[in-house]
Amino acid sequence: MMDIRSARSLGMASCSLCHKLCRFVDDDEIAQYCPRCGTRLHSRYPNSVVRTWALLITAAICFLPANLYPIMVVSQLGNDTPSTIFGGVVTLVHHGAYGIAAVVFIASLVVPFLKLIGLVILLIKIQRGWHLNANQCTSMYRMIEFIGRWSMLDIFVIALLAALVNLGAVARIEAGPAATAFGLTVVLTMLAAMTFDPRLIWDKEVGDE
Amino acid sequence: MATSDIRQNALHQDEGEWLACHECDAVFRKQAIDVRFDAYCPRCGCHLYASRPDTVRRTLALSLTGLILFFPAVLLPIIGLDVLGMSNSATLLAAVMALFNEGYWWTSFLVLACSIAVPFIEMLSLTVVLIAISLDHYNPWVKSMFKFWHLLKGWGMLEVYLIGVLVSMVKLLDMASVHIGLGLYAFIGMLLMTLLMTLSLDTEEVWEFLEQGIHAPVPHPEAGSASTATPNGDDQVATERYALKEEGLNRR
Ligand SMILES: [Zn+2]
Ligand SMILES: [Zn+2]
Repeated sequence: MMDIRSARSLGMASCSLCHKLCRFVDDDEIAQYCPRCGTRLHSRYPNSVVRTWALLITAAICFLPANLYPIMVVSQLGNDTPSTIFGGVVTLVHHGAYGIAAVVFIASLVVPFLKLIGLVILLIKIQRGWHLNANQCTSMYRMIEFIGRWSMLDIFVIALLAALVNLGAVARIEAGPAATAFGLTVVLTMLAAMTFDPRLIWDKEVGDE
Repeated sequence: MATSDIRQNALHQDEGEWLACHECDAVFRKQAIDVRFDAYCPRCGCHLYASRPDTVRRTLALSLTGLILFFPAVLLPIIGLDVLGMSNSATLLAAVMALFNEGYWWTSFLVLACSIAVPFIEMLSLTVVLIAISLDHYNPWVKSMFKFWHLLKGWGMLEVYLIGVLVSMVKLLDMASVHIGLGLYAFIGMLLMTLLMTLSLDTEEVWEFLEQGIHAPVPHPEAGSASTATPNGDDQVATERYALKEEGLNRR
């Protein structure tokens, strides 16, 4: 295997926005800017671990009301039926739409949960120096970043249903308070994944002192 | 290669020839890759850079088509509903307004951003940048616009929305009869354009244009593709482009 060195150990940093490799003095007190796009350069995202923790904890707190409160209220001929995220999945199963039920279940429950757990594992690995395979950790991070957006599915469904089923007293669908909490969870976990610096996973690897 | 050599080279040669993986920070020498190929980090497997044929013109064509499709996609109904003799239909914009009118302003803002605003601004800013490059018009604001495009990346969620449309239709099936609106076709077209745009855009090349303020050299057919090997049909494409350029010059 060829000798792999990190940009940091060579006195360089790649621009976080345009990925240009620039000369860099490893001192965050000195403001240095990318000559190509003008973004402030950092060898690692500043306070990446702390910021990610903060966003994750807030997201976890929002995830509770998101699941406990109704996300949607269906009123048919005067009867209000509120349903939670999980309740929506159960209804789909009762109607025999197993495929769609699985998609909604994965997108709105499994994905946010796995994102939270996955990022916590990565953060603990970095802070406690857990010996986990760096390649697997990076794959997990990439996965977390990729699937995060799919959680927005339920929010879009509710928006569409609220616009579509608006037939006065006959049938109405309205959003419930969980929609706000769930939207916050999705945005916060996405921000957490963006704030997390995957280069930290590799910092303690061999070949880099 | 000894590490000291890497450092010496990296510091004394043109920095553009070296790059660092943005997911594991490993430093590599940038190597010429064939057109339509991608370079991945040998350590962590992250996508490093790509080589795309004629990236500016192709992406511009796609983003312009996307912009044209945007208006019918937003204004025409996506799905319609018939129940007990009453009918209703929903557009992208109506979905946002429905949440807003119910008092869920934050959620409605989120839906507006992810399904309408971000995809539109992404296409618009990319179009402006690519037009500026095609016209050899380099200004600081073109750079800022491309920077802005980078910042928005990841927040446009048209593909998720499409699945959302599908889920809504299934949820309504036993309650009413649902039909697809014209807007959905435009929406799918716009989604396709944005997906093809990500496939045809070589951001590194665009940055190089913006950095140097010059056009990419049109490969000379006689000089052959010695430095950058162009396999299969791409020699022909390059030759054709060259011929077109010659023709244009003659006409003038
Ligand atoms: Zn930059
Ligand atoms: Zn890498």
